[in-house]
Amino acid sequence: MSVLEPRRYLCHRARSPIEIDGRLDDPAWQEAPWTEDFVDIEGDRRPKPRYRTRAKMLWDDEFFYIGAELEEPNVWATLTEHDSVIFLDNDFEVFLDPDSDSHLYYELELNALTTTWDLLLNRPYKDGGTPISNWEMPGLRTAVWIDGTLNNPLDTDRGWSVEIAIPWTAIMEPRDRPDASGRPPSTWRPSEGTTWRVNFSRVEWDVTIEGTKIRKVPDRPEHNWVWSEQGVIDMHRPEHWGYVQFTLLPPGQAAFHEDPSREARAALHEAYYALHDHRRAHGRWPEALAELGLNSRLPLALHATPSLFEVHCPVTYPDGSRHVWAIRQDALVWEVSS
Amino acid sequence: MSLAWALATLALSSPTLPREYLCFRATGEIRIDGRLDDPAWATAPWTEDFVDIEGHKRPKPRYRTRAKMLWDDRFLYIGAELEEPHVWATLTRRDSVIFQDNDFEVFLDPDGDTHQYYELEMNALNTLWDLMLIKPYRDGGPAVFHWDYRRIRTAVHVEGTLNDPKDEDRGWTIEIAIPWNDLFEHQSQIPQDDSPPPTPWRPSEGTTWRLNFSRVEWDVEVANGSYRKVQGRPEHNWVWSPQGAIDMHRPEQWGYLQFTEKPPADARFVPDPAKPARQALHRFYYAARAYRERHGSWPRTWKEAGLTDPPPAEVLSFRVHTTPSLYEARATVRYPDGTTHVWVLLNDSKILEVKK
Repeated sequence: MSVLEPRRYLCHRARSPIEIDGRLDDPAWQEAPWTEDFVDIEGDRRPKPRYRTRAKMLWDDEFFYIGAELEEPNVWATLTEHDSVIFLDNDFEVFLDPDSDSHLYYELELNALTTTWDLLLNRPYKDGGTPISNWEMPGLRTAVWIDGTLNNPLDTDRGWSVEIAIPWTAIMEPRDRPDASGRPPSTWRPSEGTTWRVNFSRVEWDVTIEGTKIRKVPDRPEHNWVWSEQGVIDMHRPEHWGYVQFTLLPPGQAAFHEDPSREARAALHEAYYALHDHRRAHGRWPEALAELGLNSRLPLALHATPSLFEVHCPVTYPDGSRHVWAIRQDALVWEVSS
Repeated sequence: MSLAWALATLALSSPTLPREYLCFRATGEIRIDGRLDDPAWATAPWTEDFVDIEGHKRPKPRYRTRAKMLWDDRFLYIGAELEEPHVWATLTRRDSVIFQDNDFEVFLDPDGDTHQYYELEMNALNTLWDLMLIKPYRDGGPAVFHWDYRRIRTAVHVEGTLNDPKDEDRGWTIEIAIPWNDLFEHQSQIPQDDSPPPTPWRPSEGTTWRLNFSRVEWDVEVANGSYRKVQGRPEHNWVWSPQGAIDMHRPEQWGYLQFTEKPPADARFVPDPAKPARQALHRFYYAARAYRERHGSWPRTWKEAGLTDPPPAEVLSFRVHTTPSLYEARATVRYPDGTTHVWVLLNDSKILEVKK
């Protein structure tokens, strides 16, 4: 079993205002590097996406900015109602897990008509999570710019670009409350080195041209092109999302700081999947992790009840400090306080 | 165990608690205008008068509050009547902290597992605060304030004058229509509009939910011709199903709301056959929390949790399985029909039946 390397991105401050109009032509964007080109959700064993997709990010005191560029010869979209199942059209999707625990994370989908679906997941679907669509991102700003024509198959388009401004207040809300004065606490926005887990996904359907209409080819699954490879056709494995690290330093002076818990997290997730595989096959958790043949070199300890488990993983950080990380049967990851 | 807790436990173990309500189908249209004068309401019985949130150890509320419910293919209808000589309200922005005004509150946990439940608060200006709780606050929540009852309908009728201390009012009445489509919006089978959802995303005969109502009442005085809260006084909390503590976020104490399709004369409330298991498991839950605070670990048995009297006779076995941070408690319970069932409570208070 290979260990996927999540992508990494250093997110700089926007040094001038960003107008959310779908065009990434604001001067501030020039300082933001592009992400890697998106790859198939399953990674290298699948062909390279036929159209290029890439993104950029910036931040300021109010917003997390995302800009994306989607190469596309036939820009089309049909859904106009907020909170529709947007991925039934071609779409661009954002996934955010601010505290990296793989629970309580956010998803935003939008199509080329700028119709949005914003939702909250209490935990991943595989762990019994429910998509909470009546959750809203108040103050969210989105715009799409089409380099070509929408829903017109008679010409070849160059693509569409997306600009998104997510207010910190909209996404940190369930985690923390404003103080008595109503001001959001300063913990709602990143500080130097704050690291979130983020992924982007693009859903692309095969289409045919029928007269003046663009139609989906029936019975073909969608393509899923993503920034940080998931290994399987499932975006809801937040442990594979990229690392986005916020910095106040200007480009050139800032360096990405690796997550010192990454090896422990990978080992814990390997154990988590193996434990669930074992339970599916045998109807119960194993007596010991040794039965599972894990690759990890880290010493893992299993504690289980008939329906629950926690696996502990002690790890020494590069600075010599010792920490214990843990995962639960519902994929929650946390640092065990000593 | 503190004396207060012992008394609360005693009060809450009396047979009529949690409260029970049999909810009939609306036999006609209900216009949401705040007045409970639609003919359909006449068939709906009133709940018991509300009592103090802590139960009988506290004085009876000084103003009467009661509610009724009805249902149809699209909505749960709630009507409430709040006796009040001084109807006042100040908050006008949705999702304000409405209980800073006098308010009426609805708590709903459709599947009765004590997780992922809904709260609605409204004042006499018909301003709403609607939110969802992932878990109770005691288990880490969080409360999701940006969750909305998107298709809800609410109205208030003031029997008297709003914010006018010169006269004495009779009170205010409330009408609420909660769409099934909002409660189950996370299910993919739910229509995106107001049309009725398929079953099981609306009740059928015997469907039983957990629900409570709360009324927050502040002591007020008149200053410069307007109402003003008396400074430094806590609010009163008057509820339908007493909580035993000043905490609405104990869904296990909420009332049972049972839906029926039968006409009132033929319908009868069917008590929850799992109630002895639920009550034993929740007693263990609170005892285990207290034990962990003292010892840093979970108790491994009912007795080790400090529970001296045995679980109720219907509970045939009670087992606890622990890890350093988790536990599950399993109660095997005999139902009145002779069948046995296993109910499980997890350390975050989630409670559910497991298939044997």
